[in-house]
Amino acid sequence: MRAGEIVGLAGLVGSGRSEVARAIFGADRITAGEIRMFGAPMDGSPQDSARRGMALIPENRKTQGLALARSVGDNIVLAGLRKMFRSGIFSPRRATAAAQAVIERLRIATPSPRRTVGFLSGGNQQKVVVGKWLNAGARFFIFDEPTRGIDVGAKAEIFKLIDGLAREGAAILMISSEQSEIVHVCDRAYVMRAGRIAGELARQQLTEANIVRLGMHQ
Amino acid sequence: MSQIRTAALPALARVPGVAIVLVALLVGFSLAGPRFLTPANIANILMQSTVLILLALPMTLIIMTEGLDLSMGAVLTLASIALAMTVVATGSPALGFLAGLAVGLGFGLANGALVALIGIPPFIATLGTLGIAQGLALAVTDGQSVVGIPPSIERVYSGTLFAVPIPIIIGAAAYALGHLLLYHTRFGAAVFALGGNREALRLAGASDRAMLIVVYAVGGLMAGFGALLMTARMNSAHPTAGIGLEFDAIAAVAVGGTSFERGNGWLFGTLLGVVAVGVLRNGLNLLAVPSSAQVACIGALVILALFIDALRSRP
Repeated sequence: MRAGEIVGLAGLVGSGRSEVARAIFGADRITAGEIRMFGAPMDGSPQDSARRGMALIPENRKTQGLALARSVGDNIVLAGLRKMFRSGIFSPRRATAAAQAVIERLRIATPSPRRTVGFLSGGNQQKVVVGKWLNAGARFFIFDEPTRGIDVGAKAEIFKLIDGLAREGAAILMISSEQSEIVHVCDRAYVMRAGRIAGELARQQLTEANIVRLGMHQ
Repeated sequence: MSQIRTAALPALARVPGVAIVLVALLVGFSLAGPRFLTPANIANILMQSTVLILLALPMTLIIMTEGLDLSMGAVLTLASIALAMTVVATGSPALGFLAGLAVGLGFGLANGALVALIGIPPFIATLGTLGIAQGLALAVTDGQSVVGIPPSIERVYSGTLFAVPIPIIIGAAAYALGHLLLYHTRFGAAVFALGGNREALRLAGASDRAMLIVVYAVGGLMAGFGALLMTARMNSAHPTAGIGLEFDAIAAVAVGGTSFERGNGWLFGTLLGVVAVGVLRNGLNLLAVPSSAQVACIGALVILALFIDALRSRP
């Protein structure tokens, strides 16, 4: 993975894409192999990953990404707590200011940072998850099915957001079951089949037909 | 129905249930007898509430994480006995105090480890440590009180500093520290998230397990401080002194409006809840209601406060 690059991870549901994403981030323990970031090996824990600039936007934002009953602001500062408040002293005012900055940057439709996140639309909830990591200063984003349960307009906005992150030099790994999304958004893609990488598709070869061909047997 | 009420009484509708309950109790007991609303009795209520506030503050944090600590009363009892026995054996109040704190902290860490590392449900884990602490307290004392404590311990309860009773100072300091911890530290921000969604906190790169252990450890440590106050108040240690204290603490937290799910906690509500429980117990004592019936009244109080809140949160 390189800075500014959007890499797709395609394949059928159950082919092991989310497992790879969770293993890279450290959400699940890896039993073999090694993850390296900026050339240095990771210790395979979410703490280490988050501290070194990795972000996981998980498949299920309601159970893994957000504290739904908490406010937009509380959720946005969650991943960046350690960076923002090094001394351990928490300033509600600074937290609100940071949340406000993210809300404006991502144009999250919420009346205020104090709004309960569960009341927002799916697209805006997803933006809060991304905003949480922007606030934490992440440089490598793993999006696991970022458009699930989101309406068409919000999908376009999420893709624009992903594209914008890549333009600013972030590296992005995107998992999607929609071949058209992979083709439309990614610079190159890996296709998984039965827990293994079945092949890599460069930009010129990246078509829906090729993804399907690699994802199914032969 | 509730919308009509809200429109008619917009200001009252925003008053939390615990405040309404507290005012009603104060008015009711004042009308019921002349001995309730006297400066001496009000001071008495506050003094007697100091042990409970020490337990209810950490209980609020524990409940916010969707947990529970049933062992607090028993741990306080055992810490009180450790304190008294150490003082009697060594003659050193400081060593006794440290022994009480060590017992409290040890049980708190054990509760935290059982819940956070092994994944035992808090209800079961702390029920187990309740049994262990209570059983040890009865076993080491053979069911007898520990007496012969030097007067220096007793002065912790009866003494004053700048004309303010020391227990009140300890209670106020504990509340101030609890407020700072919950609302003005990174740890406090994480406590809200622990109950809000522990998995999201973990995936945000926070050490959710360590934080959960700390939450329970604080509970145990505060039981150790409560043991000091309790021992000083009684000038001895009884192996049954703390039985049921966890019930009062959980009741105070619930009356105070802290939710048992989703990490919604309100520390000031807990303070009001503690005073409400204290007022209720004191008022019923003055009316010569036996303590068994008082427990029933506290139960009713919890339901009433939550009922008022539930009425209002209906759409």
